[in-house]
Amino acid sequence: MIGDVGVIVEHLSKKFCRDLKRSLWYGIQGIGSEFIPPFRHNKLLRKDEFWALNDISFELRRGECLGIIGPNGSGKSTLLKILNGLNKPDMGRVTIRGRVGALIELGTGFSPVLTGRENLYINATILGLSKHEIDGLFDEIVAFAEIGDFIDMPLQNYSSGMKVRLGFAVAANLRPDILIIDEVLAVGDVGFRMKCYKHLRQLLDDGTSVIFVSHSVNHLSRITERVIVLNHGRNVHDGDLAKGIGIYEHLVLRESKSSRTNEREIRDTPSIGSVSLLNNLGRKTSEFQTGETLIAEIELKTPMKVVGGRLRCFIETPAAGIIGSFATPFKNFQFDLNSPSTSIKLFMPNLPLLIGGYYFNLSLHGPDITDVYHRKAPAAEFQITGPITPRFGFGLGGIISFEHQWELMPKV
Amino acid sequence: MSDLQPELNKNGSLYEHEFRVDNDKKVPIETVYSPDKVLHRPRYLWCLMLANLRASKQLTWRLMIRDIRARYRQSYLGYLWAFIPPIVTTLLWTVLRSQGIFAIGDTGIPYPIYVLTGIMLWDVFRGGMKSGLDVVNTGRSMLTKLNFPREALVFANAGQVMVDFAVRLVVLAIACVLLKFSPPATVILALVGIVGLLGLGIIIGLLLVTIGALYKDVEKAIGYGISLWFYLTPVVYPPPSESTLAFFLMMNPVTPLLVTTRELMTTGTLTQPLGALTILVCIPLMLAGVWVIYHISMPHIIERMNV
Repeated sequence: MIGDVGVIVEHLSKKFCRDLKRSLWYGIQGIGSEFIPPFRHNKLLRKDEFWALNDISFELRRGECLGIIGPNGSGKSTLLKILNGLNKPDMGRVTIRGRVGALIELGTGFSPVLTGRENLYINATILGLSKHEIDGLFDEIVAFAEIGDFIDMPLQNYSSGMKVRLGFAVAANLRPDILIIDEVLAVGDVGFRMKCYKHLRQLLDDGTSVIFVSHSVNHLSRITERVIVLNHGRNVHDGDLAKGIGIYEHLVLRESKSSRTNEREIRDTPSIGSVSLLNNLGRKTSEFQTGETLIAEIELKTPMKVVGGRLRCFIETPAAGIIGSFATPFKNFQFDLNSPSTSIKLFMPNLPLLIGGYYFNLSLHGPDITDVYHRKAPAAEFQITGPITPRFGFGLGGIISFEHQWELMPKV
Repeated sequence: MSDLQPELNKNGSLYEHEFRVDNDKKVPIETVYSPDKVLHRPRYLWCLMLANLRASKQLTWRLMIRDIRARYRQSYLGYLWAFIPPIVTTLLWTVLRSQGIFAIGDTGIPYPIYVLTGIMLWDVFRGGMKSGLDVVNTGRSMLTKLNFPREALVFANAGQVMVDFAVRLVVLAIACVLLKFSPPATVILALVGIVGLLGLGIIIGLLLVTIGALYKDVEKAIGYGISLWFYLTPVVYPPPSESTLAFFLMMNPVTPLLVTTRELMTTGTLTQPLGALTILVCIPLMLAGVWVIYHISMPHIIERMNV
């Protein structure tokens, strides 16, 4: 049920200061400027400042779910804080129609020496419920949290999972018009998490707009089809989830690549040179579709001739690590390294990978076990950009596209 | 649209806020967050603050109960701890005086009663001051993660101070019986003074929080300043009539209020009625002003507060 617009964000920008001392001083200035005319806002960056959010615009309708992803420090939390009214924007405006419920951190305001029951009332009141409303929802909340007799025990006797369950149960039963969730579902056991997703779907069907910030992109497909990718405070993608995940993983890859430096300029041993990826039409690309053919042209440099080279290839994703590897001897492919360079070609038909970003890592070896010449990670990177398959959990999901068939068995 | 009252968002403080009706259908309240300065629209700001006030009613109550319960739950003596500090302090000062360690002039009433009332009233003022920094510091995680009417934190603290005071009245009553001292009828009027002291404390506390929440210097300064202030206020000694100290005592806004309230509770004859009255009249106005400052500066403070 998707209806009227519930959230409008227009050209939203927010400044942040890197230096603590200066940040405090800007804070004082900010307070001061509220009281001293001119009532005009300074749009320029001051010393040590940067745009934590830069010209973000989007709209969200009732009953629509929006995922927000991005590398660390891309501005996700800042955006949520502004949407929740905790921080004031520096530019642009946010219009929110309806009651906002925010789950930025579960169990804020919990007191360890008080019982679960007492904490439940406190927490629900902080989140904006009246005593009357809480009384009505009490049994439902306790049942949802699966806490049972623990409800009358002090909170310090609770396991961390129980605290999370209680926190989510309270917040989930708020029934706000707009629900803002930040990472909180990452905790708790799988069963409870599934229950939470189910509950969120129900809220969406009832017309609640949900804004969901997550690092575990694999879970996003359970509740949303639309995602915003933030990078350095900018909105680099707004739309299709699968494409967004591809862009997000690409950003993460790029960031981790710049931190991995294992390149040496001059080598006296054989090394891996340029690696280019091509599609089955022979065009250079880094974007592929599930089931397509990937061709890699690998240049191997060497100062001397080596008889009997060996090459290993690893496919890796930021989310799951190495998901598979293979090497030249397995296919009985033999090659020599000739000075100055030798090129070999790898064919990977029918790529079994689903939407996401992947590393293509290589390591070059000589004929002996100890001949480890060069490891290049990543040697190249690529994204699977389609086709879109999650279909709310009823399509293909995860990393690998499994070949499969269904058939109806005849009655015996 | 004039017949529409601004309706409250239960989440509390909003920067802007509208409510409209389209074809007899209630359109949800609209909250707008923008960099515009709210002071530019004073009437609107006032509406917001009043809305916040109403929204904080239930939360105040919950927070107060939480803090009072949590305070004594993890102790063997429990609520008995509410009585112990005033008894100990009163005994301490009484013993020190009776041993002639320092000379304190005639107080007109039994000295233990004088000290006990003085300390009780001082603690009301001091407690009010805690509505600022202490409350923001303990509520840090709540403030930086949840949007709720922040006024509730101040009210909850004020309520707690009043509860503490009421509990200590029991100690005072026992002391009165033991020392065969009967308070005058003016004791009822003392309530105004007590609320005044609380208000004065809140005013100072909230004024300091705007800077103190960001710069720790303020917190450190308060630590030293408050004990100095204690001695510059006639809490445990009667106000001297002529000395260099008298000037400081006169400049101290707590003095007339505390002295007068104590006199209302004990002797019934007032020595500084005019000073007390002046301050009592100023308090509501200043409280309103400080509230505006608090309301406007909180988002800035929360933004810069390290979690």
